[in-house]
Amino acid sequence: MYFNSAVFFWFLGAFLLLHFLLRGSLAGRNWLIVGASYFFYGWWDWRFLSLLLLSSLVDFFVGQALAAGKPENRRRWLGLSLGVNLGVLGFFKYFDFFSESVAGGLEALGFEASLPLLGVVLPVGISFYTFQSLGYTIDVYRGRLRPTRDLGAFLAYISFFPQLVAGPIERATNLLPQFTSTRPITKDRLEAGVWLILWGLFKKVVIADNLAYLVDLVYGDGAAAGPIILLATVAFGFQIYCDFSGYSDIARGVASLLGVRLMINFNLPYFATSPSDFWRRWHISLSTWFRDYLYIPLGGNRCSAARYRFNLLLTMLLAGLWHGAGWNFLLWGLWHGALLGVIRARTPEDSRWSKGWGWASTMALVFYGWLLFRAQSLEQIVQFTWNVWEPAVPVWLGSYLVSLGLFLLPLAVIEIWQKLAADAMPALQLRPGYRWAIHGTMLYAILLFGETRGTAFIYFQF
Amino acid sequence: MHSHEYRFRLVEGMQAVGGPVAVALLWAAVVWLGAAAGVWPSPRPMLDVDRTVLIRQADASGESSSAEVLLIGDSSCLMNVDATYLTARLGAETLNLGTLSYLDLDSFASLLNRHLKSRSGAPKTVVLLVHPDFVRRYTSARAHVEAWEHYLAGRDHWFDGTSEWGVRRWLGLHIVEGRFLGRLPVPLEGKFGSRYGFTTNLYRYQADHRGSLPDPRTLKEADLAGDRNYWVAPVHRRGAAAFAAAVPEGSRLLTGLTPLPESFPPDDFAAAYHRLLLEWSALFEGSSALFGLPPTLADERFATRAHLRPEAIEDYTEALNRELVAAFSDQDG
Repeated sequence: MYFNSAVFFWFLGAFLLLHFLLRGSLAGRNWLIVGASYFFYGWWDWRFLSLLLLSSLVDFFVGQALAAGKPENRRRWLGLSLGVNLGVLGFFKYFDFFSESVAGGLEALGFEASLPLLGVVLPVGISFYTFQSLGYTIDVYRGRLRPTRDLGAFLAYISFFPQLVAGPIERATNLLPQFTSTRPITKDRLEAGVWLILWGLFKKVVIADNLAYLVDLVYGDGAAAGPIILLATVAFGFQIYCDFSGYSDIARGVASLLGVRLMINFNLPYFATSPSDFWRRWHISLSTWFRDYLYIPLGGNRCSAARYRFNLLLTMLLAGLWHGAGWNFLLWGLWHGALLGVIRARTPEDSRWSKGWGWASTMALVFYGWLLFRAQSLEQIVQFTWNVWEPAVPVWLGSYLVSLGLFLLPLAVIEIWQKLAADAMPALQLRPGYRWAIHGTMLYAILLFGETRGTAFIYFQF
Repeated sequence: MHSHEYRFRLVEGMQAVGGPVAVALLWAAVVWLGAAAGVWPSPRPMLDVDRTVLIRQADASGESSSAEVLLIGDSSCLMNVDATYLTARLGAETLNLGTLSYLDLDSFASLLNRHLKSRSGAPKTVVLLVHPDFVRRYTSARAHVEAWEHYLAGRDHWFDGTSEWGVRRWLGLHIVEGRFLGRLPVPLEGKFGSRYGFTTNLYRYQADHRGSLPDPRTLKEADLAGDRNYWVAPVHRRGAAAFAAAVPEGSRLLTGLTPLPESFPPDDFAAAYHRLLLEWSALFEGSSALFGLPPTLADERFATRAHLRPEAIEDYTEALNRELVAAFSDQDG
């Protein structure tokens, strides 16, 4: 059930009605959220509900045990949670990749290798809810959070359908308390919800889905050469941004209609003036998760320069691997790890680099990273990296530029407005008539470009 | 609706949701009114390969032309014959009006009629070239026939029959698509995208190549599945009469069938092909059949069961050229 499908809005309408009818009953609403979320998730494949339930129950009871058990057993309880969560994730997401990679490596060394492949379907959203659930246990272990005894609230926290399958990856310290207290739904939250849903859908349906055609035109063609590769990579950078940030916005908007505040996941990332600035703005819930639960425990930057760079590389390598079991994702992670290590080392906070140069160079590096991310094989990465310098120009270059410009224009207008107003929802400051005009025009465009079946979001595969 | 949980008034809630909906409906009204008042540009829904080819061929048929040889038919006529090459070989201007979609013979007749109205004098020869799959097919694709008819009539097109399209039509979205988005370059998917890029480029390619359009795909195993027997579907009788009637006096109508991959039909297909062509040609009063065209070609020469790969087109066009030269000499003799 995609956010951009007709069936989701039927589901949401029915859910909001039941949610209204259960006003005054916090526990009733939490269990309604759990039921609706499991229904929402089971719409794809009900069999994987067991994994979601397993992950949730293990961390709920580990949380209890961490609080009530003997201190000497705390590490064991944490180990159990890590083992179950990462074991399930590793089994479903990475087993075949490692098996194939090991077999490939052995064959390259001249050994015959025939390692088993499972060929299992990747449960949608498994990386997101696994990390969210793990974050809770680690916070309890560290004493930053008191474990909840309210199973309904905990299951609602793990399975909350707006952000279940593609984030934001919420922290228990932010989201869990919202399920254990009254969640007021104000006029501001309602209007914010409408803006976030419409703007998120616009980014997904109008911009990302149309840019996808432009990207596929080049990345689906093994013989592409010349500056068209550059344009297609730019198109992909904006496609993945609009696709993923669109999902995050819709998630935040739907949550807002229920009185729940989800964290901001994207903050104008293509205005970043350095790689570290980019990672403060891109997929914030994931980058801060890795920062807090991996990078800082590794020693962060309070160590030798070599160790600091190692920490960065390892963190970003795993962040790349989090996205998918593929060498291109590993390379993408390493690329960003290297950028963070090298550029930050050379440019301290009081750098004299002009913002313009910082922005242009950061974008060039970030968009090269998107080539690594989008390429279908290592061969294509090499081929595109070389072919981009060839003087070839397809006859349809003009059409490509027109099409790219048309779909990027509304994004540029809105984001520059957001930047100048220093407000992610500037339309809400307008008088109602103007606000409705903008919302209504976005709605009409969404209906114009939308398909009732909906189209998959890129990050569902992660 | 004031409570400890819902802290807004009902009217505020209705405004937040109803305001945008009202504006969207206002857009729908503006779109419909603009179309009714003739303010918007005419419909031109070049949104995919099929509709771009339909529109290109409709435009070509409406342009003044002095083509002596007119090729009309299904997608195998469009994609298997190089009209530029044929023009050079015959020394007679050739125009390919083959269409990609599953149109019927009535649509071919309307295409021919439209072309004849826009030119002075009749073409020397009209060649109706279709694939054996077309001959045995009982139905045409209603959506494509409607798209074709709506475009020729200058009407906005929508696919009828589903609730989704009902809502889209009600909101006037088909008007925006057909009159505005269809005029912009729309990227093509798959191999057509890699080869031709965008709808506007595809249109230009056809215009530059006398209507012909090579198929960039490669033959798949699935293309060689299905019924291997061929017959003439009786449903063509009425359309054949309309088509034959549309051929002007002084023009000669030649009918031909395009080839199949050699591994697809039964072993004795050559004889069956001859009978099929004879029976097919007999539907068109006053026509002659092109018996010298190859009934089958090697599988590797095909892009689909009906379309040749670009590198095989010249040889096939040469075979057609030989048939036409022979037919012309008969005619002159």
